Amino acid sequence: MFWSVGVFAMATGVLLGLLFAMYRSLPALDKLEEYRPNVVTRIADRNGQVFHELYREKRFWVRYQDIPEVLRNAIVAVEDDQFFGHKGVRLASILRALIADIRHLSLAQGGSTITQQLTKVLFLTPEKSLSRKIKEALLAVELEKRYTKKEILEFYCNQIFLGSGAYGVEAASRIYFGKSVGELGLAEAALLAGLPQAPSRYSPLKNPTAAMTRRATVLSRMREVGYIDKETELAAVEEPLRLADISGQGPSAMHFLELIRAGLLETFGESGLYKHGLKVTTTLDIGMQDAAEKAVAIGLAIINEQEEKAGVRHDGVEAQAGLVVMDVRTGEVLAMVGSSDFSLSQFNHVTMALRQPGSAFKPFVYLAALERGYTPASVVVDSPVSFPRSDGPGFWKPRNYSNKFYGPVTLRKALENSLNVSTIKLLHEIGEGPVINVAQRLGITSALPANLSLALGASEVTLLEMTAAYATLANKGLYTPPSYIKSVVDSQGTVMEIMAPEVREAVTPEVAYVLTNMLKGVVENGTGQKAKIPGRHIAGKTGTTSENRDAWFIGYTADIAAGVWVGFDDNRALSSRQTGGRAAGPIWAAFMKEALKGMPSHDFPPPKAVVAHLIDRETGLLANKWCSDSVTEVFVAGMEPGEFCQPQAMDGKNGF
Amino acid sequence: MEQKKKMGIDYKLLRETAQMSVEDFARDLKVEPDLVKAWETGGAVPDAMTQKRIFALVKKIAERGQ
Repeated sequence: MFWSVGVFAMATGVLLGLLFAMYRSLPALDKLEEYRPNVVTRIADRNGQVFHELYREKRFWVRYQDIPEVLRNAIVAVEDDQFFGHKGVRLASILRALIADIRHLSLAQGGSTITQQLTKVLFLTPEKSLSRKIKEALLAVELEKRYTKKEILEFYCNQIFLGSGAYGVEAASRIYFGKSVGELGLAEAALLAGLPQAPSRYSPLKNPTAAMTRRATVLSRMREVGYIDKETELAAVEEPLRLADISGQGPSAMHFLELIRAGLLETFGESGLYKHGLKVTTTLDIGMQDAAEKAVAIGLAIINEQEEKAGVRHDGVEAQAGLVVMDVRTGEVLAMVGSSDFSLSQFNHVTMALRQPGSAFKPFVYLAALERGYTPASVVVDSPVSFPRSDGPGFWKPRNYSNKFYGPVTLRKALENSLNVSTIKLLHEIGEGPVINVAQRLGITSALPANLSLALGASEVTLLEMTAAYATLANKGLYTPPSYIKSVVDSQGTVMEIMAPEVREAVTPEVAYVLTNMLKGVVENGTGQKAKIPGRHIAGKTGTTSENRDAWFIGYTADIAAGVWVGFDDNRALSSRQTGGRAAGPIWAAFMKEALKGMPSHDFPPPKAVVAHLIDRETGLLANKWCSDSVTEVFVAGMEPGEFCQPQAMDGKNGF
Repeated sequence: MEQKKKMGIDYKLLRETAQMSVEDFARDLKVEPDLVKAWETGGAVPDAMTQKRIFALVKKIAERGQ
């Protein structure tokens, strides 16, 4: 007897000692005051429409009073029907679970109150051990001393994992039912309340039948606890599952989003991005993004079919495309499609792909020429020409796409018809330096080697660089770097960052206008006619590289600039029909037609120091009675031709 | 803004591209072969009327089997 009492006293002492030691090692509950849950960062378009969310844990914090009573009751009924009565733990439940565990030689049984479950997810590891269960109980008691039942239930409702990436009832409600938690009915609330036990097994998305069965269990518990009557229970059990329609959602803008995410991560770090519930207003226009994604999808489907028939896609590899749209005044990126499908190719063909621009580079040659006193009426003779090869013996004899020569042509005609020989001769006359310089002023940062192949766009650039350069022409010569974010505000409404465009003059407004006028001719009369849109004033340029490896079209109105590239990632050639005008032009036009709907049409306004004169179309001289074919041409004031047509100069019938 | 001297016509290359002998080229342009040789070496420049004939020839090159 004496020994028995002694052993019991000793065992009790050891147990109390262990409990005390455990109590001392408990994590500080102060953590709850400092606790900042991971909150979703919302990404909105330029009009404030949220189109995406960035999160580690998808969570929207919702206050106790905003959680509908029906949901609170459902959770309490199924998880812990004595919640409002106990002090954190229920001894009866713990003992029942303990006996069951001993019987099955495991630690699988739950029996945890809502408070215990909360302490487990907030402070402890998910391991199943006796010491963890004891700590959970001790912490639950402490938690109940510090916080009200409402506060604990609010924490629980916002903290629990409910499957499909949803943390907390609000995120789950939006994911499964497409509505806020305040709009939930009884059956929906019961379904959510049933998820914490096994979010994946009871997921209505993955296992609707299991979810319905679990929902019935929750409804039954609600009736047993007294929250609902039998009739209400049966009506809710009979309700069909009505889930959120996740098909036919808006544009994905995934490549754009990835740029945003990377930028925010660099500025705010991991914690800032995923914990502060940022509201990021981007430059994107959801309507334009939608039009851009549709134009690329339809355009690529047509091209892939044509390429399959032509035998180019014998191995099933699909052509790729990039499309980017900018506001010409601010440089803000309004839409971006980085590849045919982000899930298949995360490579961004707008910002990452370095490709030869082909003739889309030619405007820079003409711009440099205009700056050096040439005019659209200046004449260059398109005739055979040869240059010693810089990369070996022999001569380089450039040819035009048509394999023809055109004799004397005005710069306007040479650009409209994208004549290689004329442009190379022009580049040879003005030198590579001024062309590289003007391209760099327009924002081209990729390396541009100084050789004559520059005229044919043999140096690799990105679609974004090219589109920003063309946007500069639309913006009266003012260059604005591309931007993606307008403002960043944290969850408290504090403005963290506001982006202001940096503008600088790249070329004079007069020169920009004259080149724009020439590029309008490309669309109206030249290689860019596939991009023509009736009633719209459009300037643009095609680009096709050797063997049709790249097809480009970059064009602009007075308000927006857009660039399209089409090609294969493995650099194989597109079929012979896929020129810039035929492959990229229609995608560009399809996008623009949709994007410009409802926008007023206005022409590019001429600066004061630009004048118009009637000139002879062939010779570029000022027109008079001797000219049979005259046309109005624009000039930077003071650069107009000084001579008039001569009688012999226009006589085309004498002997040939 | 100063304009550079325009790049001229390479008459020899033009003739070769057209796959013509000096004599054929001269006959087509109604001039003496020696004058063609002078253009090719830079010793002379075609007059305005001959230049117009040359330009017409340039435009026909593609049709001559390029």
